[in-house]
Amino acid sequence: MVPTDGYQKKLDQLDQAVKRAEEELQRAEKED
Amino acid sequence: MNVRIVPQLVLAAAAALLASQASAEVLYKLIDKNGKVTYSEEKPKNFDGQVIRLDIDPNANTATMPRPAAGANSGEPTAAPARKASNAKKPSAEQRIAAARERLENAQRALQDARDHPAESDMQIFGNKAEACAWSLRMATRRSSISSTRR
Repeated sequence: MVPTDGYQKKLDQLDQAVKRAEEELQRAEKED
Repeated sequence: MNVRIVPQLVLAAAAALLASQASAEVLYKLIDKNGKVTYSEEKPKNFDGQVIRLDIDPNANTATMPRPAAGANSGEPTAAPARKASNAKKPSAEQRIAAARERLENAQRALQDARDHPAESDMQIFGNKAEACAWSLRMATRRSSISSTRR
């Protein structure tokens, strides 16, 4: 069983969303 | 005799004036052969196309403006209250951090969920199908046992 390209892309997008959220949180904490 | 006629003439003139104002509330939508739409206040005489009469109700499109504040006439700029309101709505640092943390948790949860529970269409089978089916069955059994232990 191998992940399809679409599923891998979805995982990558979710991973990017997590990274963006982490950066956003760091920025908010710095501003504080 | 003439003195009695004058008020009636005045009334007739007033009625005619009102009637002419009422007719100003009518528009005509003109659609020519090519589908081009134009509007006119007067009904065209020789128009080769469709003419649609539009009765405009001038009271239908009124906007309700907010009432001026009590001190509006004291020379105070009117934009100041709006600016104050926008400042009041701005979230505090704690709120922004809490919102950012919530977004991060949601994103992490979505990623974990997508990793843990891929749909059947998310995976493709290479090699022996029987082995792949057995593997899927094992995974389904494990998933059900995990969910039952969570309960």
